[in-house]
Amino acid sequence: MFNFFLLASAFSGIQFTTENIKEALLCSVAGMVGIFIVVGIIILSVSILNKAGTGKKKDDK
Amino acid sequence: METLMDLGQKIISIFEAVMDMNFTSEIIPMLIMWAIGGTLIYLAIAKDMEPTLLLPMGFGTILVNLPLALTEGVISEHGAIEVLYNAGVANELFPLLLFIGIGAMIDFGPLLSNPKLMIFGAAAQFGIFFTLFVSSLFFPINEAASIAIIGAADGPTSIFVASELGSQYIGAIIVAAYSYMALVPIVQPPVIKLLTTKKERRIRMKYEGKAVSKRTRILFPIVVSIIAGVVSPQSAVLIGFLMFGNLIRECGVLDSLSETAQKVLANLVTILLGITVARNMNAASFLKWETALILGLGLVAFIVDTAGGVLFAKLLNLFLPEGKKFNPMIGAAGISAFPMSSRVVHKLGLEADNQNFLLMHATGVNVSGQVASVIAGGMILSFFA
Repeated sequence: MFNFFLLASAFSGIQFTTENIKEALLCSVAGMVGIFIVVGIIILSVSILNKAGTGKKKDDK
Repeated sequence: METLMDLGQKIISIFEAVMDMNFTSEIIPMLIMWAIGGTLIYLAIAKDMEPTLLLPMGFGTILVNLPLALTEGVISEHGAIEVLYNAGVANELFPLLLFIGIGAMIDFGPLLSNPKLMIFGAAAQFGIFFTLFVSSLFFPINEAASIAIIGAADGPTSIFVASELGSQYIGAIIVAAYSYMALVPIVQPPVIKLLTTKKERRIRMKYEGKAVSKRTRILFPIVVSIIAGVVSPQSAVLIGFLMFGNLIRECGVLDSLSETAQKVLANLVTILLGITVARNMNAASFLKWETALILGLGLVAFIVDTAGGVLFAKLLNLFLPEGKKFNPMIGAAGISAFPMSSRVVHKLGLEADNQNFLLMHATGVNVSGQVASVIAGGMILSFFA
């Protein structure tokens, strides 16, 4: 597989490099974790908003 | 008389310059780009694939590849497309204005009535980060990040992030993003079918359709903007403009502005954006091996996004009792390509069981994918901008 990449790189002029792999991997993991955190906070906020809305309706009744 | 002579001289010099064009290095690439432009126009008109963007882009591609376009014409320093590019794309104004229109178009009701669906929107961004990892093997990290954002399945986000990161491949990135969005009905079904059994595709999900209060609808865009701004500041401008459009829609007192944002503003910006992004579709910058690789990586991003959503739903099902399980196909709708993805899931649900109506669940996941993809764009910017 590695040889295939090297061959393709030589043919196309695109450099195959592993020097960014660690940074990319760390950012990928951090990115996914970050999205889940932000989305989790949004879910929590919407649930609170919904609960508050329902509570208000009950109060109105 | 002298002016006429000057004009004649000018025409002769342009004609001579055209005649001097090298056949293999200039004329053939120009003809290939005309063919690519023609193909985009064909796909837009004959196949109805994202016509609002592919048609202007196709025409723009032909325009910027006319002889001497670079030195004398539309993309010269003071050419019309260059001026529009600097005024609206280079400074990311057009994608942001488009976001106001998109925000005004989106009804977050299905998401607000069942907020836990939003978790699938997050899971379906996996393709972005997987592609970042793979792209980093071939491109500098900033370019890899720009390419990875194709997986956001959201044109304005792709344009915004790629511009902000100063990508030299922005033309190819935009073509890939919009082409695959149009190809969602072709790309997603085989991936979904490969990862699910027929029994899983038959899982019915009860839709409770809880009413969402007007107060919640109004507070949602404000709260999301604040959360995104605090937790992920780089996504604040993207989320902010999207949510501003939604607030105009939901506030109930700005109906004419909401209608203008949804129709006039969105259409106007789309026209200008489509023809302007073609600035990067000139032969010299587009006809490279990198372009083919970017198109391939974009496809990987869409496939892994879909797989990420489906597999995450299957993972959650392991912990849920019978009767509470998710139909794993709805995870695929988290890809953001709205509303195509939710329609695909709904259609596949009906294919497996003609009484299995998944549209509302899939729509909830789909709009959450729209929000999550913007947050992902912000994450990418916070790492690399």
